[in-house]
Amino acid sequence: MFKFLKVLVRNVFQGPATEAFPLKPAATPDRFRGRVQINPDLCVGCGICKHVCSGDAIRIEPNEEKTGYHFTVWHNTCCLCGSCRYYCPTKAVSLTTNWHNAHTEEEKYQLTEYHFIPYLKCEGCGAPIRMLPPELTARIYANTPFDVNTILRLCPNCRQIATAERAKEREQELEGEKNDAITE
Amino acid sequence: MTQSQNNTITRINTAFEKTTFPKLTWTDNDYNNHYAWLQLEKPNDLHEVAKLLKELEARLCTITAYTEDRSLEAKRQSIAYHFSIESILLTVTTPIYDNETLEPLEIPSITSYFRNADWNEREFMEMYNIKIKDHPNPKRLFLDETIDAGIMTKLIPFSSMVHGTGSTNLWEQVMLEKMGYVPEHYKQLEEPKFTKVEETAQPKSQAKE
Amino acid sequence: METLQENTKNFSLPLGPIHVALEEPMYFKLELEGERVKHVDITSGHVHRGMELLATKRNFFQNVVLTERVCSLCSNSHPLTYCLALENLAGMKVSLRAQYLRVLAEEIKRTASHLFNVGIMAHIIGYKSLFMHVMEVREIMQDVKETIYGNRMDLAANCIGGVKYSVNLELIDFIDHSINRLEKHVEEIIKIYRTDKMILTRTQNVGVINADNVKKYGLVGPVARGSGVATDTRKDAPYLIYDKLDFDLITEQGGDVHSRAMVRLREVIESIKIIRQIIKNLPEEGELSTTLPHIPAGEAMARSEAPRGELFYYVRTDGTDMPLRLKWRVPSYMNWDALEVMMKDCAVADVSLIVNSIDPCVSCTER
Repeated sequence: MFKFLKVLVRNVFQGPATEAFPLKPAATPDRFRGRVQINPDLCVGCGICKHVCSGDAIRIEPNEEKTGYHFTVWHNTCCLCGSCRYYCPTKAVSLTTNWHNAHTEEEKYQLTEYHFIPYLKCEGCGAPIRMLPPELTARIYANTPFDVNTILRLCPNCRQIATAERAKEREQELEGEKNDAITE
Repeated sequence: MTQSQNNTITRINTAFEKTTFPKLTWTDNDYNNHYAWLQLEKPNDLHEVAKLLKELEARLCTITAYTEDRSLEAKRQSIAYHFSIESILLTVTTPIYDNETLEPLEIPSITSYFRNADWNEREFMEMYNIKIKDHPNPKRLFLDETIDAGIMTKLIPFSSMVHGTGSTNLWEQVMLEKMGYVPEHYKQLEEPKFTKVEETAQPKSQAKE
Repeated sequence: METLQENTKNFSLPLGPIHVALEEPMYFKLELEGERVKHVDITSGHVHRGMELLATKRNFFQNVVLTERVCSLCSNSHPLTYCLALENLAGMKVSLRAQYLRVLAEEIKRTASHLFNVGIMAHIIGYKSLFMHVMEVREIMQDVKETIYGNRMDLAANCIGGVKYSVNLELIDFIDHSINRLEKHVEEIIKIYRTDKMILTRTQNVGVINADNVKKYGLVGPVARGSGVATDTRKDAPYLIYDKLDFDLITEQGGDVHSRAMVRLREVIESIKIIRQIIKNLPEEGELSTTLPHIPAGEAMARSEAPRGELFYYVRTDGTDMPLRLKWRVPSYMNWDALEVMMKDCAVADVSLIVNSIDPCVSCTER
């Protein structure tokens, strides 16, 4: 008993161990898994986040005119596991440190992370497409002579044609260089 | 493989070689854990196996009952008994249906050898409606008496299992808020229609007459 | 009523399902003779949620999160063992760095879980100031969890084929600082629990179970080790990097409530030892997780040492991305049944103390 009395006395002098929230802000670490946030510029609509989401909190729906898609994360059924962030290939999903999720009953259906993400028009044929993720495209075409900025604005068909044409040009260029070398 | 593991494996293999049971199959993993599997043909052998494992100083880890496929009329049920013998996990699997008629068979209890089989057996009795011949304490474990045994073999729609959270209905509300409309394929599920109770109530004046 | 008139000494006393000592529901029907418990009848199922059936309707990724939510105190052990079972089935290899990080999460959870149980013990005795102190010490580890994993209970550390998180030098320093603080406090707490008269009189020779009964009921974890049965999955069948780590298997001989509490407290020190080795030897290179191969049809088992003892997972697949059957058995499952031995002839006042000493987890047991 005496041993613990010493601890008690020490604790008394240390003062309160609790935080004064809500009078003062509560400490939140940087890695805290709070509300989900989407960066619409990076999202390519692949749907892996929806596939791994265990709370059924993500819906990806193309609009009626098929000019883009609605991306909705409903915070009320999100369990903050961070699977979407982990599996997102383009790092479009992040978790903020915001843990203030208390809300009134009326607000429950509004509590969403929502973006309308429009499709691009393919620069070749005009078909609605989703832009290729720039980082990924840069990685795929790193050792090729293609201009990444044009490639990512093309639909798969036009991309095939463009890369084939560019390859042909490149071949001709190389042959030209060869011929030049011979003539020299 | 360490020496002690090797000894245990040899001990198990020799014990089983003396019997008429099918041969044990062995698997292992990246961490040098070894697993033995025994597939029985009929549940009648369970008593003999349990006796042998008791002699090997095995500990019953748990018992898993399952249906062998996902189809609705799945009648083929099996039970896997998982034992731990030092560092080795040994699983004894037995089908509990008749091979020709697919009729379910009654199985013996192994509680006389392994006391902790009690709860496990009671659990699969209620979850899978498996009949046990000689269970010492065959009352319900988790489920209430009002729920039919064999709930794990029944078709339960996912939406009713999760009480409608994340279901079409709730998402319709969320989509109405943000998108302003509900996509067509969300409306395919038909909501049950009820007649309002007030509509069927007789007007007061009529009731008097 | 009749029995009461015939013999005022014998009566039955219902306890639960809602009970002050336990946050979770369990119903005990005690047959008493005077103040002594003669027979105990357990009725469970109040939090049975059909999670095993739910798991067969969800894909492998979703089940990692589902299993993490079986129970909060051993929430890291569930996804870990589930992932181990799937990795056994598909023959996946986890990098050494990921294995270290997995064990780090396990041991951080273990320290917090053990301190929680020991703290609740002081609470049941009525030693509120000690309870508050132990919980404050536990808060050190809660802060570690929140800082590294982003949540105080559900770490979300595991994924199939590895881990989802990593630690940098700054965080390693933070862990080091925290476990040094924790060690000092826990050593002090151990001395208090070992010598404090109030604790000793309430917990020694209460809820005794001997080694023979431990084996008969197939008990595991600190309950078995408190009765001198040296069983620990980390030693018996080492998984991940546990065979490379230096730590002791803790046993106590008393088999009573006090021995079980001492096993837990001393294991906190062992866990600190393990964490120290991990942050010292953590490989800098290595993939955090592997790409997911096709998971073939088959069956596999895995087990790990959760804070309460051996946790067992069995998975059966049919080649689709959902398990055909997922079964898990938690350590509390057997420990509940053994309460009838521990509670034999104990005083009514000790019942909640004995129940707490098995570190019960109802939501784990019933799933």
